[in-house]
Amino acid sequence: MGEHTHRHSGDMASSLCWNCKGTLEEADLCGTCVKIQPFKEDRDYFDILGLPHRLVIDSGTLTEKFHEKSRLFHPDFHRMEASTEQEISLTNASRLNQAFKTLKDPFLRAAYYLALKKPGNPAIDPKKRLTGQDLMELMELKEELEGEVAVGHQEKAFARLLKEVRDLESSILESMKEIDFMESGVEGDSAPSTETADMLQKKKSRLSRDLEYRKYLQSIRRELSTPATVKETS
Amino acid sequence: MTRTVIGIDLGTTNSLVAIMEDGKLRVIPDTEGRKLLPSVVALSSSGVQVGFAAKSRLNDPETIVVYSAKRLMGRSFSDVEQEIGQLAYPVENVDGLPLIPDPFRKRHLSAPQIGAMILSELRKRAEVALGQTVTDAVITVPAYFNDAQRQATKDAGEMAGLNVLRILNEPTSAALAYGFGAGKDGLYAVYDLGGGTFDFSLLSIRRGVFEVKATSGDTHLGGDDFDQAIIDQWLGILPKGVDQSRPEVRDLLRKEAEKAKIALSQNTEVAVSVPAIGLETTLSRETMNKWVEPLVQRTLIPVHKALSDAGVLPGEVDGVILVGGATRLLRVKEAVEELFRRPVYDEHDPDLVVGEGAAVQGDILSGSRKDMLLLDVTPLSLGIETMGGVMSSLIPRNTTIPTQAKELFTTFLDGQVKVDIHVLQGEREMAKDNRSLARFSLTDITPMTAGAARIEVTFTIDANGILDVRALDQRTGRSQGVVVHPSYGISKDTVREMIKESFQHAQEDFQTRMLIDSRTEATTVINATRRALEKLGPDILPDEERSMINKQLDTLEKAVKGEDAKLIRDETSALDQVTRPLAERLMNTSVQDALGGKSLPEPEREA
Repeated sequence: MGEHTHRHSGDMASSLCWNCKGTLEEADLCGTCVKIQPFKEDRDYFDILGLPHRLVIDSGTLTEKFHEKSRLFHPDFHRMEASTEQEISLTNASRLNQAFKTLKDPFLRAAYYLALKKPGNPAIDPKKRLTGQDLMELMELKEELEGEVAVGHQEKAFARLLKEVRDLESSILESMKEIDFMESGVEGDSAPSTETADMLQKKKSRLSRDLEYRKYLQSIRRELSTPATVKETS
Repeated sequence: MTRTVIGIDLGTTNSLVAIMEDGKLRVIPDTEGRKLLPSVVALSSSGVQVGFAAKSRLNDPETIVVYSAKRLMGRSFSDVEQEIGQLAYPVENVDGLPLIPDPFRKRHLSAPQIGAMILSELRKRAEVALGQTVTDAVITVPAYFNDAQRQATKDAGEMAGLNVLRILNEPTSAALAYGFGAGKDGLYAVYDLGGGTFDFSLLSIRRGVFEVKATSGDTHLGGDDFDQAIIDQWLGILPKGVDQSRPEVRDLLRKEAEKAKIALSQNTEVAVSVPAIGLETTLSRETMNKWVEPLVQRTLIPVHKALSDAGVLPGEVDGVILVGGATRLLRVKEAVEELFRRPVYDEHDPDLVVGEGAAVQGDILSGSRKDMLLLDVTPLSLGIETMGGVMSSLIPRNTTIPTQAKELFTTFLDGQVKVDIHVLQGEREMAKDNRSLARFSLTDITPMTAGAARIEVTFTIDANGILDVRALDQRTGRSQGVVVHPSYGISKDTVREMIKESFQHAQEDFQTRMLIDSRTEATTVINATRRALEKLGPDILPDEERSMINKQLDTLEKAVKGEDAKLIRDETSALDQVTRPLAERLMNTSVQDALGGKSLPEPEREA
C-alpha cells in the first residue's frame, strides 16, 4: 500500500467489459452487452456510490444513490442469470452495503475519509491520535463513573456519560463542516497556501483525535451497561 | 410467459400457499376450500397423512402425530431438550439431532423431512389449482431464525422438490402483502405474534425500496403460550381424580382455551364448560388479560431492543402492522397501541398475510417486476471463536445483506498444515453462549514457520441470510480447502441422502402430474363440447344423440373431480367416441358449405 495518486471516478476509459471485451463508458454497466461489471479493488466507497470525495454528504442524496446502485446490483435482480453475473452481483452488493453503512454514519464516514490515501491528506499515525493526557482523562472518567454505579447512581452516571458523548459528537460534526468548507474552497484551484494547508492539517488531526476519543467513550458506555443488558431468551 | 413462483408460509401451527395472478393475490385453498393447512403430519401403519387428516388423529393411540416441527428445525437435540417435554410425540437423540421415530417404516425423520411433507402437500395444492407443475418457491421464516434454521428450511424445500429462490423474513413479507412500497413511504413496525414465535421488525420503505432497519424477537413466544397460560390456571381447579398428564385432557383444555380466547374478543365474559373432565367455570376478559399480561410484556422486550438498535422512538414509527393469529387478542392490540400511539394495520387476515407477501416476493423474483427491492438484514451477529473462548464478531447483527467479511488467518506452530475455525452466531461475549454454526478446517497449508501462512477467509452472507465460507492462500493465490462440519442441523451429505430418498417418491409425484394433465385435457374437451352443443340445432344433432353426449359429459365431469387419472383418460376417450359421428357430420357440412362457396357460420368454427 505505497503511494497512491489521486484518481477521479471518471477515470475508467481504459477498462474493458469482462463479457464482450468492449470499452466501458461507465464503470458499473457495459453499454454494449448490458452486463453488470465487478467493482475494481481500488474503487473506494465514494467511487462505488458515485459521490464526490467529501466529508459532508447530504443524507438524502446518499440514500438515493444507494438505492439506485442497489437496483443495479442486488442479487434478487440477477436470479435467473448466469453464475458469473450472480457472483458479481453478490460481491458488488456486499461492498455497496458496506459503503453505504460506512458513509451513512458521519463518524464512520469521517474516520474513513481521514484514512483515504490521497495527496494533501497525510496519514495520521493511529498511535498518536490520543495524547497521554487524553488517556488519563478517560481513565479518570471511567473510574468516577464506576464509582457512581457502585453506589447505585446508575442513572446519574449514564446521564453524565451521555452528555460527554453528545458534546463531543456535536463538536465533531461542527469541525467536519469546517474542514469540508475549507476543502471545497481550495479544490480545483492552484495549490492552497501553506498557511491554509497547515490549518487544515491541524483541524484534521484534531478531528482524528476526537473520533478516537469518542470510540473510547463508547467502550466505557458498553462496559457500564453490560450488567443491565437484556438477557437473550433463546 | 414467466414461471409462477409460489409463496409459502411454513408456519409452526398452520401453513399456506399463495400466488400472484394478474397482479392479484390469491391464497390457494384445498379442494374443500380451506386456505390453511395444519402443519401436522401423522405416522401410522396405514401410511403418512398431512394436514387436517393428520390433525384429526391427534388422540389416536395407534398414530404418531407430529406438530410444531418448526420448533425443531435446524436445531440440535440439546437446543430443544427442554421443549421436547412439551411435545406429545417422541423425539430421540440420534447423533445429537432431534429425530422423530417412525416405527411403522423403521426409520427416523428429521424436522426438515417433516417440513418437506408439508411443503409437498402445498406444492400439490398449487399444481392442481394452476394446472401445471410448480418448482420455484419463496418460503418465509421468522426474522429471528439463525443460519442453520434458514438452511434447514431451504433443505426441506429441496426435499419437497422445490427450487427455493428465497428465504424471506415473515415481517418483511407482511409489509409486502400490504402493498407498501407503492406509494406508502415511511417507517413501519411489524408486530408478529404467531402460534409459536414472536418477531418484531422495523422496516423503512422509500420509493419501492424495503429496508429492514432492525429485527428482534423471541423464538419461544406465541399464541400457544397464551393458551398454555389459561390452561395452567384451569389445571389448578380441575376436580381431583382427573389425570392431568393425559394428552386427551390437555387437548380438551387447549380447545376450550382457544375457544374462550376467541369469544373474549367479542364478549367480556364467557362460560367455560368441559363436562368430560368436570371443568365448569366462567372466564372474564379482565381475568384472562391478567393471566396473559406477563406474556404481553415479554413481547415488548424485543420491541424495545429493536427500537433502540435502530435509534428510533415509538412515536417516530408511521404505523404498526399486526401479524399472526394471536394479535386478534384485544389486550395485545391495546398494548401495541399504548406503546406506539400510531395507526395499526390489521385489515389483512393476520393468518394469511405472511403467505401473501411471499407470493409478492415470488412475483418480483420471477422477473415480472422491478419496481420493488427488498433490502434485508442479518438478524444475528456472525463471528469466530478466538483465544480464551471469546467470540470475535465479524459481521454485526442488523447488517444489510448480502454482506462479506474478510479475515486473515495464520499458523501458530512450525510446520502446521491445518487451522481449525469455529464459526458462531449470536450476541453473547463467550463463544459457548452463542450458537455454533459450523466448524471448519483450512487444510493443505504448505508447512512453514509459525505465523508465515497468510490465509484469507471470506465469510459471505447471501441474500437469503445463508453463510458461505471461502478461503484463499494469499501467498500462492490458491483457493484453500474448506471443510465445513455443521455443528448441528443436518450435514450436506444427509441432505443429499434425503433428496435421493425424495426421488423414491418421484413415482407418486409423477402420478400427481399425470392426474393434473388428464384433468386439464378433460376440462378443455368438456368446455369445447358444451359450447358446441349449445349452438347446434336438432337438424344436425338429434335429441337422442344429444342426451347420449350429455350423459357422457356428466360421467367425465364426475371423473375429473376424482383422483383416478386413468379413469379420466378413459372417460375422455369415451366422450371422443360418442361425439365422433357428430364431428364427422360437421366436417362434411363444412366441406359442403365450402364447396358451395358459403362461409362457415362463426359458432361452428369455434367448436
